[in-house]
Amino acid sequence: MVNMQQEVRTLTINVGPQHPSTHGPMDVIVTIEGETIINADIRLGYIHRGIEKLCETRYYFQIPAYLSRLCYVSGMFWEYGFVRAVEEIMGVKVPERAQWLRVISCELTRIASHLIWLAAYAADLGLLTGLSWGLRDRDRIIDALEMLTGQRMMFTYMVFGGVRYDMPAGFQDTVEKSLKYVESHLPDWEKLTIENPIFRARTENLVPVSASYAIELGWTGPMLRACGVKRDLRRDEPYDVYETLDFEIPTGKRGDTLDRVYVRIEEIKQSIKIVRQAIKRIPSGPYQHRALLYPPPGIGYGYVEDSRGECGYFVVSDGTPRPYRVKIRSPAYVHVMSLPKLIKGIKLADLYAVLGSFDPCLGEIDR
Amino acid sequence: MGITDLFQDLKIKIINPRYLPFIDKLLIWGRRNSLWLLVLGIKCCTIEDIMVPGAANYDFERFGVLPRNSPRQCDLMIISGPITQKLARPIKVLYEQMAEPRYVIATGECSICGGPWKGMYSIIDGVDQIIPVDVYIPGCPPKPEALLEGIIKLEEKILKGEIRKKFLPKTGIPKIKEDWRS
Amino acid sequence: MSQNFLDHIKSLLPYAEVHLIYKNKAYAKVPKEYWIDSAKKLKSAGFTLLSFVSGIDRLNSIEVIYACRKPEGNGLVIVGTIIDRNNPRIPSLITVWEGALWHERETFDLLGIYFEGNPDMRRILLPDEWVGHPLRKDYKW
Ligand code: SF4
Repeated sequence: MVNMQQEVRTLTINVGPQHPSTHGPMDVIVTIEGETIINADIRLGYIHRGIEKLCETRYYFQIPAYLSRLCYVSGMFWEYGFVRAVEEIMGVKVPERAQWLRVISCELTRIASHLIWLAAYAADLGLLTGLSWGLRDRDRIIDALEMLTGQRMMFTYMVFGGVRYDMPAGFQDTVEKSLKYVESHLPDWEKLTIENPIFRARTENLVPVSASYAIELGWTGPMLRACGVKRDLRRDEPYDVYETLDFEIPTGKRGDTLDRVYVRIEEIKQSIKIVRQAIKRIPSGPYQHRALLYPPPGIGYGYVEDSRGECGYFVVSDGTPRPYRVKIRSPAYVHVMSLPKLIKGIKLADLYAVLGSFDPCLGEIDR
Repeated sequence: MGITDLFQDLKIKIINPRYLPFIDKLLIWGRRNSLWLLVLGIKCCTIEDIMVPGAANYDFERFGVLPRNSPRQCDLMIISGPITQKLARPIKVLYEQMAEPRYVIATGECSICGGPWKGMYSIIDGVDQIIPVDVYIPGCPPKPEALLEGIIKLEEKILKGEIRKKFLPKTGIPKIKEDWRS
Repeated sequence: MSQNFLDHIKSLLPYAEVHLIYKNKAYAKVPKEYWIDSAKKLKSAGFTLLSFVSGIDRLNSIEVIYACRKPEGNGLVIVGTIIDRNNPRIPSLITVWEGALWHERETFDLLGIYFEGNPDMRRILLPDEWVGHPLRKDYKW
């Protein structure tokens, strides 16, 4: 007779590449013993498009259009990081109105990105109400962005030395309306997520990470802030006009999954605050500065605080119209890297709660 | 034509071959109105063409499109992004798992021809090199309204009976090894 | 301010050629022997957050770089070293930063630099049977 309990000990299963909880084609290979995960590995690269190589074959001014397709929920940041890196090599001074417009568009994108994350994460946990709420709210933000840039997702709004379009007439009112709409639903969001006992039961004390370990792993952005580190590039290494703006940096206490939700909801509030200030204080003047077509030889590192963390571009220019090397530093890549270490010992059903809270955006991870 | 009209027409006794055309019609009508969609997000077009139309503002459930997670339950697959050589095999496996009749919509330039990434070392130029496609929706990304239009086009196509059982193209997948898990 | 920063880095890495890229961003070129040593020194001086590890193909040699920054306050250092292009090997940074694991895997995948000591030197973005390293300048496809 076969002793089943001894025969079937461990089992390896593939979560992916097509899985509703992986937020894109990604493969989490977990080995389970009963319901407990004892080992995990990740297979990536299903949408690796070779964008770093592509950048080497294109002219500088063509590249931002490709880069907004890197991460599809926060494309604005990704063009912005590259534009900043190249401006650094060129030594261009960006007009003040353009800086404010960049702040407005980036913060609107951050709200949209966090909302879509909330929607997807709620759906991961079976809260389908959250899915339709998140997309409903996001659509209002996207309306405002569409008015500004003419596109719903792939903005291509940043150009070297400024932004592509000025604010259209009536933009302030649209933004204010959208922000009011989103703001009016935030209490509902809190009731649905961080105050909801069922939601708390699934996320509280799940995979807590200490601050020092998070830094060791290289985490940035909301993930690091959830661990209690007050780190925000907008405040610590300010760029554009962020120094003059008044906002707080929300931090979590335990670094668990619930804190990550909390930090992101608070960040939406802070972004709303920033956009309101910026809309009021935006000065008049030129919104574009005539920049060189391509930079002189040199290296530059442009960074922005993306909705996921530090988005960085390391650009090497050799004085030709095409970059010599572009290295993209993706925050979600670093976060997903630590997943196999962190999920050892938890239950399989909790894997989706953890993976979703990392906000993996496969476009940016695979590049 | 509503389902009650059809049943009145039929008056049951389906075995009688005279009614077979009606049953055929009924089947086609049923197929048209219950396109179950496989939740397969590849890249950017997923947000605009699967998530946003699935939510409250556009709501493609009006057209009978219901998102499901298992390929065995689905009739419709929306390819929403570039196909890399690594992804080609899983896509083909998913397609083969779906029950006949099955329909494919290719949204966005990436899945139509490779789009912005055309010619890169890891990209296959267009999903129709791997699986047959019924409706192409151009755009980068297409707006949610465009997707709804595409679904209506597909439904018209089904209603006209233009879609017959399809065969996989003979060319197969270019340049990749048989065992994608190696 | 930025001069202080430059002097600080210079005193930390006496063997390196350091120059500023921009405000509070420094680039240091170290000899190959001091690769790990520079990482340890920088980490103990407060640059505890590893940003990325990567490489640049310089046609007749390969440059490996890593960037680290302070988790609070300002400052970023990019450290580079030149290695042989035909047999690119360098000690892994995994002993200093645990987070270097996948950065090195990616660099191995796209540029073919072998990190000695990294326990997981497989391809990550491309299929395992792929031939060649796409980010090399002479890669043809
Ligand atoms: S067509 Fe454009 S928007 Fe759609 S997946 Fe491709 S790059 Fe992204």
